[in-house]
Amino acid sequence: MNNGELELILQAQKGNMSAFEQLVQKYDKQVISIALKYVNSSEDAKDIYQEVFLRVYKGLPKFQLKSEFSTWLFRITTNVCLSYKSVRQKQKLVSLDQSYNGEEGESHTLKDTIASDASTDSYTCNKELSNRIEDALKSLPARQRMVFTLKHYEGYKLREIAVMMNCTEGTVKRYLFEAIRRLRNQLEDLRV
Amino acid sequence: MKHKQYQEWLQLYLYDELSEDEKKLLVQHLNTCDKCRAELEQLQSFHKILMSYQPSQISEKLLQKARNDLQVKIYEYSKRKNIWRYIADAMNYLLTPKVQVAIGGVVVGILIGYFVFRFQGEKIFGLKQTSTSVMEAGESRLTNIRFLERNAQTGDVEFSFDAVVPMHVRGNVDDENIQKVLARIAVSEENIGTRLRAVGMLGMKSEEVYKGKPELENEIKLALITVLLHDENLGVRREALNALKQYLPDTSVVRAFLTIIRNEKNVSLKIAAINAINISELKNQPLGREIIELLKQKAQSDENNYVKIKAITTLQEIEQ
Repeated sequence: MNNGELELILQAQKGNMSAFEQLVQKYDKQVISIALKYVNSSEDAKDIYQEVFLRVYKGLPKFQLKSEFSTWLFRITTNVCLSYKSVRQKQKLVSLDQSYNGEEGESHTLKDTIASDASTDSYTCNKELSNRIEDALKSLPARQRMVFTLKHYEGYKLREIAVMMNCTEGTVKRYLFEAIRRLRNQLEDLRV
Repeated sequence: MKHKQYQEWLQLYLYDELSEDEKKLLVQHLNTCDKCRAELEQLQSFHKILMSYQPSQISEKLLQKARNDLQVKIYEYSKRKNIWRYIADAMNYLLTPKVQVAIGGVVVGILIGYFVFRFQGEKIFGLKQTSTSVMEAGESRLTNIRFLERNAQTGDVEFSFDAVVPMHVRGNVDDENIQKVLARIAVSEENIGTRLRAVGMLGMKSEEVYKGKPELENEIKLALITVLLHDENLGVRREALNALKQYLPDTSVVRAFLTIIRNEKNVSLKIAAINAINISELKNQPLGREIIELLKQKAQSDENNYVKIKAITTLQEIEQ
């Protein structure tokens, strides 16, 4: 922890709001990015952001500077993400086997379209494919999904993820391998 | 080494999580193992599929909204915490032996008070009478009366009610308790005129008022920022902006002004926010650079010509 950050923490612990806000703004992009990649919803990510920093605000007077502030903050972030339950209505996902009508009225399924490489509306196709992957990600157990999100979409190192999630690097690897195995099984029919 | 180990390494290899030595061993193994080469191809293909899905990205608007909402949340939390602190203080006080002895007598007094419906209490909403403020309780009004039980044989009755006490407060605007009442009015009162006057009064405080009282300063500042960013009435927002000028160059206030420059629909309030910040003073700090960046955007693409011109002239002044 550098001196500038230490000073900000000490000031924030004394109730200096400006120092607290500087701390928030130093890390909040990373926090909201993790939340956004994990829940894939702006509104839910904003809820997580509020909860994380409110916990930091409440806990800061007792923070003992034994660990890095960022370590503590990201542990809170992953914990809030893992326990977060969205109250919002989810958008209905479309099945790959569900039929849709082509330009000339013929019926297709999404699976056929991907396989045939036919020139259809590629945007719609990508959207459905994207929904399918999102669906598979959401079916993962929370910890596996968190590890996969942090590694695959946020690019954190495995040792960094282990610190964030307060577990060993070996455990993180196991979650990652299991997440990949499950995702491959679920998305097997999309193989290119 | 076992084959399964290499299969796991393939996944780590694609995430660049292998050491140089491990990479060499893996490459050597791949040269001799068809099964692992096929597995690597399949994994690469799987990664390609995953590229079709890009989770939502952060936008500046989302980040700003999250920061603003956080300020409101923290303000609300601080208010709740203060109320609990007053209650805890009161409970601690009540638990001292001297007071316990006195309580018996006081209870009788309270009962009599109820019967004559007068409440002369000094603590209302956690407010204490101080040397610089006087709070007088008027005649109480009973509302929300609920009869719970009546026993015709014994004559016992039970009912509940809310006693609403009109308060008359007199004191200096620098008084801590008066500031707290005004902040509460500014944030939660329904009447626009009353909110406007409360915010105006908060802007009248003297410079020394918060010396040694950072908590009070934060509480009032957060209340004014909440009003500036969230009050539905333009006049009240403008009054809050004027009151907040005294806190500059406080970072949270500058941030609130930045939000106004970025998102406010009213042109004059936007221009007032640009005028209020002394950008030259901040230009070598990250926040100053953020303001200059925003002004450059406004100079190029704000939908209003006045704002565009204001942004251009401000940028020219900074360069001089």
